[in-house]
Amino acid sequence: MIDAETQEIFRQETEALIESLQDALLALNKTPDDAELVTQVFRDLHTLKGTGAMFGYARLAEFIHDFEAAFEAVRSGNATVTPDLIAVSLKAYDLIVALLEGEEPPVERDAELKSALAAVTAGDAPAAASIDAPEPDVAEDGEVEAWILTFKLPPDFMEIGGNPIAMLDELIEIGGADTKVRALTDGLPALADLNPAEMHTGWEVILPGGASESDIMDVFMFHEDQMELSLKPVRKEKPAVQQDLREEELQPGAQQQEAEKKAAASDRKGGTAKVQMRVSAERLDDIMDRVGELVIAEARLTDLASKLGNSDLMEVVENIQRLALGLRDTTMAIRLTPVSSITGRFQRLAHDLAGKTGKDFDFVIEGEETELDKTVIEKLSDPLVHILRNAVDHGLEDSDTRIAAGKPARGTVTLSARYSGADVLISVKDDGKGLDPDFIRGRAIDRGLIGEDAVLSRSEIFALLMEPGFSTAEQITDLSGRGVGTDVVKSTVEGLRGSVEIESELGAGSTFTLRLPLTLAIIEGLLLQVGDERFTVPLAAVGGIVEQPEELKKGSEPTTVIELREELISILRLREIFECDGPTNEHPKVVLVETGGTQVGLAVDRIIGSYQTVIKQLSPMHSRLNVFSGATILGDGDVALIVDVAQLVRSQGLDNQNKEQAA
Amino acid sequence: MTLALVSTEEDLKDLVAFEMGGELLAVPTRILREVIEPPKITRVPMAGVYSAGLINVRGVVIPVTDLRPLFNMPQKDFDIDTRILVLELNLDAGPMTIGVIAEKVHAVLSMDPETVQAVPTVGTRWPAQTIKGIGRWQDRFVNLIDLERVAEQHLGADQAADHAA
Repeated sequence: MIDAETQEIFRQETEALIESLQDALLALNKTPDDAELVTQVFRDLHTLKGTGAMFGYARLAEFIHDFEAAFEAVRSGNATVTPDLIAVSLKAYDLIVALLEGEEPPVERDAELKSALAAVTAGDAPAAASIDAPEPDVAEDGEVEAWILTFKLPPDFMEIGGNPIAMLDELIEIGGADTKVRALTDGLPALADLNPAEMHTGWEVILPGGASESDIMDVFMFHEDQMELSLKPVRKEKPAVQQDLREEELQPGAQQQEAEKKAAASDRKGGTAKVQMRVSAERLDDIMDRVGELVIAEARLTDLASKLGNSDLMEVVENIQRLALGLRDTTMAIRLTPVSSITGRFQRLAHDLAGKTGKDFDFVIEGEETELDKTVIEKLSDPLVHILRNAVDHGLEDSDTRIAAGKPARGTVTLSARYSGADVLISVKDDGKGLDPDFIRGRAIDRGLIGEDAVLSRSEIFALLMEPGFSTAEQITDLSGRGVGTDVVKSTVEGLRGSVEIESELGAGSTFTLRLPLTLAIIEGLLLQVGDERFTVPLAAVGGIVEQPEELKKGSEPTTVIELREELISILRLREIFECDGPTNEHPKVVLVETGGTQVGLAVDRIIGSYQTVIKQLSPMHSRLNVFSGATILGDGDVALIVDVAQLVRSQGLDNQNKEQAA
Repeated sequence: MTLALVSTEEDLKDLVAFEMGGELLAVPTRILREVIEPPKITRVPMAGVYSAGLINVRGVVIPVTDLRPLFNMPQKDFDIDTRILVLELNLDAGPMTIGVIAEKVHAVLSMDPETVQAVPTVGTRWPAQTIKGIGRWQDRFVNLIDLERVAEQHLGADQAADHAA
């Protein structure tokens, strides 16, 4: 019986495999001649087949076997990659995913796709290379008369759950009635030393030449690296080529002689490839928590040591500081995942959308290497799917309309990711018809979202699109009506402490931009003092610090506007907004902060300095305030609040005013 | 009848009693994590009268509530007897750790379920549904406060716990 943990491992394994498979298929669509990619597809299929069979997915394994055969034909030059092959392969891929997810697609589907696969690979192939033909490698150096297989399993084989009898049965099934099995008992210890639970027997198995080499090797798929194994062909005419399979890579297909060149290439690749390891996200969270505690303890130590002023102690403290920061950076880097980890499914989506809508467009991805916290990336997938669908379904026009409007017949949809300070911006841009502010406004009035006389800026009007209740039944099409609504896009992104910005020009296209924090755990903060209270703002948002001008020191309104460096700038007086008591400073400061594309100034008493801020989430009792994005523990053990500048600006009603100024 | 007003009879056997505005209140020790002397409390601006602020308990940030305004009691300054009860509340939206300011904490006590009575609907200082029942201990009334209810109805803890995430 497969336990939950094993199931989970299986799920993780296959997830990575199917992702890689889809990427390779889509890439092949663009560069059909890339032999590496063909090998990649073949390898992924082969591993999927083996893993699936091992976990009892018989139907899956059987189907993939034929799928694999199609790519084997391509690999051996008996078929070529055509758009038809890719199209059928993607459908086959969908079936695999459905089977893996435990759905029960109609059984006829398997046969349908199998014959479609056979048809697209047989079309331009030489007559001999039908799918049912024997594996091409067999015929290469003269017909194989028999296979001599000798293998010896590790002593603990049965202890780890292996079943040698089942392996032999499998071999007999492959070889048929003519298979000969002989036990090799030379490794047996003396009876006194024999532990009956250990495995000391080896076997020699002679299989008829009709058996396929890869079928034989498949029996040992998951044990190859722990066992002694050799498989030698006995050929009719030419002398048998000696092959020591122990030295071969585990990579399936590497044994095939005609693939030797490719195998050599992949060996080289294997030698330089980074060693990867899977770790559960929970453990990473644990590490992150502990590193957070360490950073807090380190800040506390630094604080104490500087009070004591002992130089020997300071030296140690500085060393620990350096180590703690290094550890923090590494830990955060572990959690960072490139955007490319989810773009595969968007490629696929674009491919499908083009088919369904009949709209011709290029899908461009930029900045795939941009990295984000893993949890953030995973939650982004659904919102981005929704935005992409909208862009194609509602944004892009059909070719005739585009030509009439003087645009190129082919549209372009761009998905791009880039860094901006402590944020990552992910945007979906289309060159379609754009959003009509008047139309949106009208509909929002109809739906009762705004009053008829409401005064709204352009960006506020576009933001109405994301209000719950804006989207209506008449808008829903087969494509965009499914899945999450645009209001869910907004709430998902805000749940990740991000925001959505919409830009559009009528006739020229629209851009939806998601602004997200790089990480959710630790930020570089600037500690400020107001009265006798301390607050933190994210350092990445800070654009500069200036002395408060005289005119600012006088007033006491919570917000005001002053001229700074020949620019009008909104000032938020934290003392008044937060109702802080305590003494003022003789030289108060203004912290210039970038928020939502505009700059505001925070009037504070003193700047304490920058430091590592471990973000602690606020309880529901305080989180609904929004003005504070979290709390942190300072070096002296006190708690300080982290100000969410964008929300603070919003809470003071300066939002629109600033946007208008910026526009 | 009276027993239905409290969570279980078990809870009545193990109560921690504390004082606030001259009244004696009690919560089951089952939800009590610890009693601490008030550390420095960081005020949360704009958070309303029931929020006293945030404290650091061994590296964990915990919100502290001052329930005296809710019960129309004067907010006496902290003195030598002031304590914070750190409680683990089991809310519909998930568990929540919260500190409650107590002017003085008495011993752990056990109460006779027979003495527990429903709260009269008029003539008490307690807002509706904040007290599960009133019992007697050493000739004093002990008010069995329903902190889960208070947190959900008055402290905004009814929202999903992952709201802040």
